[in-house]
Amino acid sequence: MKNAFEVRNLNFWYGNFKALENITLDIQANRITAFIGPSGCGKSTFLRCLNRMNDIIEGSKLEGEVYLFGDNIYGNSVDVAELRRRVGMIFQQPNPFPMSIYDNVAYGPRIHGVKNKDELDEIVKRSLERAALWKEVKDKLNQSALSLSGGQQQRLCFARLLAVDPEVILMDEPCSAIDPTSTQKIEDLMYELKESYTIIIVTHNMQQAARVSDFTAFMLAEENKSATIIEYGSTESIFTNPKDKRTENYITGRFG
Amino acid sequence: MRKGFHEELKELKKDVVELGRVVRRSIAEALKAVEEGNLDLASQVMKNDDLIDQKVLAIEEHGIGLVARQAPVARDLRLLHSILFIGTHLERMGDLAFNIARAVKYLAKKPEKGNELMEILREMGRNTLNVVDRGIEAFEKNDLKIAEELPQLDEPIDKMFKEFFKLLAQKSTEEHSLDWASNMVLICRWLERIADHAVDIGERVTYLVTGEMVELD
Repeated sequence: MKNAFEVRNLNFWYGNFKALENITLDIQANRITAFIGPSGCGKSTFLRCLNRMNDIIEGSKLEGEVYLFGDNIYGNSVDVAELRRRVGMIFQQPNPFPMSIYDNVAYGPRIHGVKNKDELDEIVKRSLERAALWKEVKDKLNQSALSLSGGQQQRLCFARLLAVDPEVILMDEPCSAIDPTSTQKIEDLMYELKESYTIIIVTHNMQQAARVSDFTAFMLAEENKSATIIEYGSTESIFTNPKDKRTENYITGRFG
Repeated sequence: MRKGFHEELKELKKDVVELGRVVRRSIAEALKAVEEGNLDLASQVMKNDDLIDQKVLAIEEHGIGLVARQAPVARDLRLLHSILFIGTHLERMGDLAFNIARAVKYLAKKPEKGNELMEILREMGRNTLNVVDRGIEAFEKNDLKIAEELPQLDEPIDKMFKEFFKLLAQKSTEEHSLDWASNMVLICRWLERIADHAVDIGERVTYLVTGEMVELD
């Protein structure tokens, strides 16, 4: 099985605060991997290390290596914009641009130099189809993206991301601001997409992790310690027979 | 803390242990009825089986409700799984006790040389009740060690069953005792099955404690 990411001895600081301690793990390609753990356990921080979203935070520092299909993403010659095309991200709050549905999806390809109208039309249609949104919006592509419901907006963000042909999709709490039906659609979508993409999801919803993911990493920041990965394995083994007492206590709700 | 859920799970486990004790009593009373040829006691055991079935159904319904409402995982999931399976095993054991009780009325014509056979049956009964007790105890205490001992306790029962059969073949020349003999064989067979179910309870306990599915034998 191919690894999308190979993370080696990763440590991360916000100023003097050490947020992540010595993380080493492999993330399989074409699988869904979930990061779970209580608030403040570093899962979003770790997720953002995977496409260098933390670079923009002043005073942050990272040590260790992160390889994306063999390329060290913290290497000197890395084009960060290109990295973020390869490793796209979906956030908690749907964040479409204040422009038309069509322009939202065409935005990325245009930036990457696609000018031909037919080609753009094709990318927009294909991306919206893959994001399971095409049927709902095909007759109103020129309407503002902000006129869509929250769940539709989140799928539009998927379409916008798919339009630039990424390899990995990072999802930070993608369903916590949308209704159950939309959540179901996003989960179905993840299942469809994992054939072609590697998906990594941070979720507070343990049942969502259990439902959608193939692998689960449990993260925890113990008292006076930096956050790290406590246990990592197949989702089935984590949710039926976790090896670490701390994992067990967390997922069964016996925490604290 | 999911306090309510964990309390409920604990209660449900208690219900299963309690049911185990009820089933155990049924088996013991069925055996007593056999020994004494006591038809009243036998009919009590048979009546009691309805109660056991109702309790098993209630446990099952409660368990399914917990799955639907609480989405249990890890140890909670394994406990619930064990509860439901052990409930089923106990229900079967209860059915077998019912069968034994029902056979009492066919045992009236005891042959002259029946005592020796009856002695083996008594010994089998004692051993079977012991395996059942230990199986229930293993579950009650989450005791892996007891669970792993169960096959050993079951072994003599299988041997006694064979011994009983051999002895019977030698002695069953008396025409009129055929009914008696065949029912005694069945009772032995049912006891042996009861003990097997108790060993299966041990397998569930092993899974509950370790997360590993094993075949204890």
